[in-house]
Amino acid sequence: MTDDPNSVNELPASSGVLSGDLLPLVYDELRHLASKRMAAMGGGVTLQPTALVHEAWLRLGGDNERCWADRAHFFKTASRAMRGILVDRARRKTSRKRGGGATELSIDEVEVSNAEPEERILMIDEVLNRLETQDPDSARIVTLKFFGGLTNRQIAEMDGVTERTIERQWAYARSCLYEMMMEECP
Amino acid sequence: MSVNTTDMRKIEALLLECLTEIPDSGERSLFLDWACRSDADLRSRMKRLLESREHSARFFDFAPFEACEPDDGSEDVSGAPEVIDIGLRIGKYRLVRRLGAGGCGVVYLAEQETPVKRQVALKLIRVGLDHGEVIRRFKMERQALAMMDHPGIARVLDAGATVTGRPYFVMQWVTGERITDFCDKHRLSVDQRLELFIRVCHAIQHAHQKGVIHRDIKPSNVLVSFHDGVPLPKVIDFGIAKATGVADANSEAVQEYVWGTPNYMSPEQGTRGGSDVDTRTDIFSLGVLLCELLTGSTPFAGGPGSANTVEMRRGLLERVASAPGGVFAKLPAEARTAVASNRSCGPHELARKLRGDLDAIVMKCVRRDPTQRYNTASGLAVDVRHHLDNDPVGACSAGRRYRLGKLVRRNKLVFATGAVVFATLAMGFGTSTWLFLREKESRREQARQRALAEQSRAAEAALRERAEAGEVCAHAAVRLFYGDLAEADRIVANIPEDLVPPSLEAADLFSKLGDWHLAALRWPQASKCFSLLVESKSSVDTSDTDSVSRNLLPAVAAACEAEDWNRYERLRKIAVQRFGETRHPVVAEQIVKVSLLKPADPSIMARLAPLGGFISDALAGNPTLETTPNLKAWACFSMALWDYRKGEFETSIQWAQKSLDLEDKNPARVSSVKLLLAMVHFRMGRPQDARDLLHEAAPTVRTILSGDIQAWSNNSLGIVWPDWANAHVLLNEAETLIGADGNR
Repeated sequence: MTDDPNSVNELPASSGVLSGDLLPLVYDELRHLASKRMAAMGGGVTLQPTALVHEAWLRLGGDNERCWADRAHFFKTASRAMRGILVDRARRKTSRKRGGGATELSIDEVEVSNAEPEERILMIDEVLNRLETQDPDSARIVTLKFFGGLTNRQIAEMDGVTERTIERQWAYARSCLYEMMMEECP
Repeated sequence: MSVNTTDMRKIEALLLECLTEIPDSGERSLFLDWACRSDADLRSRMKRLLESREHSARFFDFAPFEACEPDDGSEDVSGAPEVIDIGLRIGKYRLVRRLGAGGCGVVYLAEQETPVKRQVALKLIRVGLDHGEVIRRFKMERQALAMMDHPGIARVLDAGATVTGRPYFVMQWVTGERITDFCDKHRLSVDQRLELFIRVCHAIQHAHQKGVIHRDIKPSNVLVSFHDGVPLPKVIDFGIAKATGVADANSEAVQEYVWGTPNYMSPEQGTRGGSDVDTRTDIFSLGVLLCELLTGSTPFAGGPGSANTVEMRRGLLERVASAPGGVFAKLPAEARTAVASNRSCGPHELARKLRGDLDAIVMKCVRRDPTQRYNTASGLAVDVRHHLDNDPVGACSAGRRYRLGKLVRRNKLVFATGAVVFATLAMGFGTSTWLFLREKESRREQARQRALAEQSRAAEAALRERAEAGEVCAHAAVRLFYGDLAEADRIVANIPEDLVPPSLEAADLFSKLGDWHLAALRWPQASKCFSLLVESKSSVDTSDTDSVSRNLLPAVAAACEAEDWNRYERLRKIAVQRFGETRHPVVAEQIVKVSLLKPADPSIMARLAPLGGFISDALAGNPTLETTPNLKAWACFSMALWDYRKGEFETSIQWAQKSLDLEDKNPARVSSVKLLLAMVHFRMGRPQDARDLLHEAAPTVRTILSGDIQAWSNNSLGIVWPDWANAHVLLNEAETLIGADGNR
């Protein structure tokens, strides 16, 4: 008996076939956790996505004995889910601010450097879509680190590289994204 | 040379890194020129990336999660996952409904069905904690937790882990509101709040006396509800902070976690290892709680923040506390009015009430140095009580004006008339002496509390050690179960002898280990094990039967073979104390026998006197000694030994003869009787008879002693190995008495 049998049973045991099936599951789980946590904590407290992702991992039946590939894969998926959640929220929030009318935010409507955090999230999401086609590796780092909240160390361990490599990739990816945004609205 | 896109990206990333690390802009530019000498596009791209590096770092420097905090918390809480938990079974508990969620986890109302049907609160701890560790720590704490029994404390009943590895705790289910909410909702006055606070202190004091420190006292852990119209607090989550490590700023677990407000944490909880945490840590948190009850805020404006562990730890050590009066004064005017109205008074009145005693009391609680805080929760309660009674409080540095002020407030009416004021001035000296005495009393009370605190700290340490010893035994029992005696023995070797847990598990463990050492004739080790067996068994089984006393036989025998006379004395003392009043003839026979193998001092003889009478009555058929001839013969031997030690040689010979006449012939006993008789004859001035008897008995005993331990026992003859050890002790005594030539 577990505290969430539905999820657990659906999580495949090996990493071969996961991707498509896992995402909705992780997505629901994370969204639920996130909103519960928000409701429970009130303002002024930083919520760390890492903790959330970690919690989702365990809730979905993961444990340390599971093979590493599963875990790495899970974090990748979870980070994508987090991205979806955060973008959804940001979109809702900005649309509420604008009186509920506009649902899509286009980069050229705001000035990059003065953007509100939720606007930044939408901008990042938008250019990240493009970066994914041009430079999937960099895009992946951004997803894991920015949206998934993973640390350099966690990513480094996952990729089997040094933390410095991750830091380098992150700095580069960040600059590239920023460059792309600036190109859109100089 | 053609380079693919992926490699190109890597090169760009490296270039960017190199460029960033060149501090001088001129050099940077030169490097850029050189590196991109054949590719102008690359050069301009790198230049832009380099320039945007800092902007981009800033642009990304925020927690996306915070930015997306929904405007109202309930936004999309609804949905299927909510229902998933309910009705689930965790261990022997079934989840009924969610009671709430906090930084530490989710709390459910749950139903337990066996062994009793009851409703409990089940707290599912957030993940990331090593559940094995959590449960291990909880088990260590369990014994101490079980000893707490106070109406102000909710018991923690159980702990475990779900299949997915989330630790959970099961607690007594308490209904009530968190203390701060309760006070505000019912607009309790300052004095009512203080009364309530005193009750909280008493609950905490009870726990401290049982050796339990809460470590996480905060409003959400103190729930209040009305009982017969009186608000009563109940402190929850005792032991959980320790088991989960959430109240330790250094805990690995904590680093992953969201910090609630660390405002209630004491500075020592931020020091490395948190090893300085003791009862005064709870005093600190109580002080913070008191301040919040009084002013609606804690003494730490802003608090140490939630940045990271290192910063938080530093924050805990460096922050400066404000007294309640100051905290209140710093609030904006509207807030002051609101806070005061929740306390059923005006802002000025509240400010006046806070000044003085209450400021001093809170500040004494939240001192950075634990030794400067109140030593005990009840010491704190006493001071709050003094304040309520307008007596001088221990926390105030006593100026004369303060003391006189107290007196005036206490006797307002009397002081209202000028005449009395004059009279008071006239007897100023007397007044201050009197007040001085009262204050001294208050200080004496604090000193008493201090002593109490020392005691409870010592009690905690002892409890901890005992619990650890219990853990070690359990661990060893597992090894034993798998047949790994050597490892089990190695494990228990670390337990201090006086901490051996009183449990049947431990008794069984030592019995088996004793036999193992015995088989190899390792007498000192066997002796230790058998005597620990006696100690653990005699405290767990208090019945007056030989099921306990018979364990003394191997213990004493092994101690004698090991020539460990200190241990023998100790065992003899246990025998006499534990069974001095036995009404069981077999027990009496065993006790007399083991206690008199060596000559005993008068006090032991005195304790054994009733037993001697009892055995002889029993042998005379009153009450009937319904037993085997073997036991009867041993009873006669015990009587002979008893009379010999008393110096009553004639009766001793009679008893010895009776023992020899009985049809049961246990060679070990026969030898013992002969050796005893030899000593009796020698004492009666018949050395030749003595020598003859010694000659008869000695070779038999020696032959057996030189063989291996299997030869010591003989089931068909009813001989157990300690019988020969007894004979051995008497042989040594007889040889010493009669002379070595008796050996020839």
